[in-house]
Amino acid sequence: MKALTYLYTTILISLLFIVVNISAQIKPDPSKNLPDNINGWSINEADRHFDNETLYDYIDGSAEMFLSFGFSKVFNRIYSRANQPDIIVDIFYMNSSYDAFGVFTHSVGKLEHEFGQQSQKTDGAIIFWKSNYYVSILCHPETPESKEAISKLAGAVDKSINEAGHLPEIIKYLPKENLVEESVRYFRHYNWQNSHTFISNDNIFNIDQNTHGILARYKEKNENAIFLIIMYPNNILAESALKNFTDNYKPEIIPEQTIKLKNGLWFRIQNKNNFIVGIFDSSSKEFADNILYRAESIINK
Amino acid sequence: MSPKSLTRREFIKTGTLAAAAGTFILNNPQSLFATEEKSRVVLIRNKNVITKDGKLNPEVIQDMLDESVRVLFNTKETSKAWKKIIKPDDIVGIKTNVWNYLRTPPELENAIKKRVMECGVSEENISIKDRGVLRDPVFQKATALINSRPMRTHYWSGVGSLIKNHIMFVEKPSDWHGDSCADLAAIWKLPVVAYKTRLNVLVMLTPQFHNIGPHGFSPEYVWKYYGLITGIDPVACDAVGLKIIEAKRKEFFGEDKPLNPPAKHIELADTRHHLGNADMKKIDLIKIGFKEGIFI
Repeated sequence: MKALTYLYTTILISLLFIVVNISAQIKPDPSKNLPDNINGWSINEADRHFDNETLYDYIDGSAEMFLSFGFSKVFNRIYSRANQPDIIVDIFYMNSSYDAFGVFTHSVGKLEHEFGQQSQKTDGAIIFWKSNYYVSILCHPETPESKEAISKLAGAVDKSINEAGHLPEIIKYLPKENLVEESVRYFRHYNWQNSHTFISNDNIFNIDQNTHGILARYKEKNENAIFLIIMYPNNILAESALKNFTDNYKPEIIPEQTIKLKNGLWFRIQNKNNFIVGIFDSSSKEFADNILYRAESIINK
Repeated sequence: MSPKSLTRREFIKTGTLAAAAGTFILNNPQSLFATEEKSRVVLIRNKNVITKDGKLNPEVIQDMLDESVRVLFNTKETSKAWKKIIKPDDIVGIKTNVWNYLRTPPELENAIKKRVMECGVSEENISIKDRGVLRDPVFQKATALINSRPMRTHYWSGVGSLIKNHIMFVEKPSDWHGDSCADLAAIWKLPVVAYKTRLNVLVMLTPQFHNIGPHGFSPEYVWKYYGLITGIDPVACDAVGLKIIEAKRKEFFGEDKPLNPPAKHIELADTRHHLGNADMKKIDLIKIGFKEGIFI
């Protein structure tokens, strides 16, 4: 009898474990939780899906941005209401939370936290990211009614994504003091290396999908600087990238020396372990050196 | 030098001078070889082009186009200017841009078509199109192209430009997206396009200076500039438009905010592909209309 009870208990625990495990693995699909109607708007036409091949047909001019991170598909729904502009809902299924975060950093102007993990509300638009989803809800031109409706929709999508996503590891190497938070730009494609100042038309940092880069602005009273940090898979690749940069950037630069460039602003670049860290367009030598000192301290921890 | 050896850059650089001299540039290309170094570009602005309710005034658009073309070709009569670039037996494709949020205005398309028809071109030999030009019978047989689109910032190429507008003349546009669209100018050398574009009109009525969101558009980042930029040289027209966009960004954001990615395809159209002039020192910019907020 004891043996039978033991067997039943074991089976029950195993089943419970399987159920819990499966539930944890299945992510609810946010597009399935969208309402059919919202504040008088209703679904206008069949939902559409676009993938890597067809994204160009849907978003003229932005497709490459999504593809430069990691993208699998986008869900599109249009809601209509008489005498009101259409509401366009796009849910981008990015390959990872890093990718959703990356796209978000390049497509916003200011940073808010009303929806998802980070969001931005502008005239007739709400954009946010959460987990591996990048969500955009548009309604142009904005009306008082549409403003309320898109806010409700954003809330519904946000609520349906129950897990937050991880930020890229490189974020933790950013010195927090004097960081302009909305200026953070994450990238794994060299096309984005000029986010805050022109660096080069070419891939002079040897950036690929295995490197993680951040550009951010720092500001304190009258002091300004742009900080760059790139994390490579190993030290050799970082050293090699620094050499490529030094050979192809400006002839006057010397690694590990803070120098004043012809534009009157300060510059420094250096390699530390598997990182390249640099300062561009700093208003003073002290401000530049201080940011880099703090970044190196974090790397050394 | 024979007409066959005329390069696009030579055509563009010298076209203005030839036209100004009253020479029909397409029938007599030998006459184009002058010492003209600069590309002529006309920037015209008129506040009346946008009405109080935000619509475009078709009559003002027509006037702006006409005056631009007269100045560009240095003629007193509009018809004479157009006849320098369009022949009655031409088959004309008017290449526009239909991007949802900021398209080539139909009022401008109609204004161009009207003048092309007045050159003696029959209506069935004119087509206005953006997507699908490769399958359009008029564009397939086109002997002349008029290229017109609004300038806007663009997530991958920096700006949507006149140079970029010809991307619909390739079967797979995404094949030209490499290195942030660096080599778009090479499209202008493909047989379907080469030497056919007689006039470029960059629409700067309500240009867009910043991208936001997946569709890259927000009404917050367009402004009323009330302008048109016309020229034979698409690179020069784009270079002028780009300067205006960059200046607007600086004013709006209160600091240098470079386009990201940079619109390098415009500079490379000059330095690598020799399509025209991107260097402002080599652009003869003629400004017509009000100067407030001109940015250049």
